[in-house]
Amino acid sequence: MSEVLVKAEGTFTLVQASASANPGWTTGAAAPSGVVGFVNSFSYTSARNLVTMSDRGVPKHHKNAGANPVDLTVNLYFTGSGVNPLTASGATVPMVHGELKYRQAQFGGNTAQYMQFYGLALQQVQLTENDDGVMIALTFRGLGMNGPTGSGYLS
Amino acid sequence: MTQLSAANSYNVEASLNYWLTEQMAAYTLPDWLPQMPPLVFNAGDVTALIPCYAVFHLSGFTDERWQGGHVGGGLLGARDTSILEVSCYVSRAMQNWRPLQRLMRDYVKGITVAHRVVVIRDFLSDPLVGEATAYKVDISDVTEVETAPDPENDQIERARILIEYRFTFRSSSS
Repeated sequence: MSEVLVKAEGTFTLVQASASANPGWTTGAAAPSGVVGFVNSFSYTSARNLVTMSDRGVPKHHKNAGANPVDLTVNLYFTGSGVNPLTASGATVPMVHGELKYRQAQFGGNTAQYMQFYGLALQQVQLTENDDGVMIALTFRGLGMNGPTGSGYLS
Repeated sequence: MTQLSAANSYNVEASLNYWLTEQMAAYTLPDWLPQMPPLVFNAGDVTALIPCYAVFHLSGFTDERWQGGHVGGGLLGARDTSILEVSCYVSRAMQNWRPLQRLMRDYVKGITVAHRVVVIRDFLSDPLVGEATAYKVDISDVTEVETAPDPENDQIERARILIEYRFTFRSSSS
């Protein structure tokens, strides 16, 4: 009963973070948030360092040596409006939380698959001019993530 | 023995017709347009019904994209790409034919922009409204193509819109 998700079902929303707790979705009351529009492509990498232990030369088991920060890239057409993370009190670097939502209309109501990215700091901004639209590539580094899950924080 | 699932072309085409009908009826019309031109499905000659939308389904193709064709739920499937053709017909004899056709065209495009996913309804088990299934159609590119003048009536103006869509055609085999 599964269906392949497509880009047209996706929405990426950012909300101002209020602290650097990880894992956690910590925001102030009525924290500013907004949908990121004109997104052309979105990708992230969530990885952990695995060390494989061998016994007499034969791989025997794995050790999880630690999680890597989540690297996230959003390519969008630039509209001129600000895309900087908002200042978050209590954090050394301004951070936002991000939520990627894929709506699943075939399941009715507001059913969706969500992925939440905690503590995103803007690492790199890259602007490229094109005849059909100026592109801007935002690279974030997050503290952690959750998902896919059936419940989200943002609409 | 092969059995069709609810995700088949019959249901998809009927679901898209149902979707078009439902969405067209929901538009708020400008004062100069007393009623939405009717949707006419699979009619060879619509001259007497102008202004109207003529709707046809153009068969596409299926191709295999997955190992073993497995698509979950014990079903086998293939990706189907087909085209929904909606032609906006008006007559030059009408006073407002040009703005009317432009608006009709926008109504079609507006629906495809606002709804990129259409839920497949099972009209094989419920012929009237179709029971909503957990399957979907992905609306893809929308193209307006040029058409030749009508050979029998040069007063007829046609704006032909092709709506490409994709879905996973599924069936079971035991």
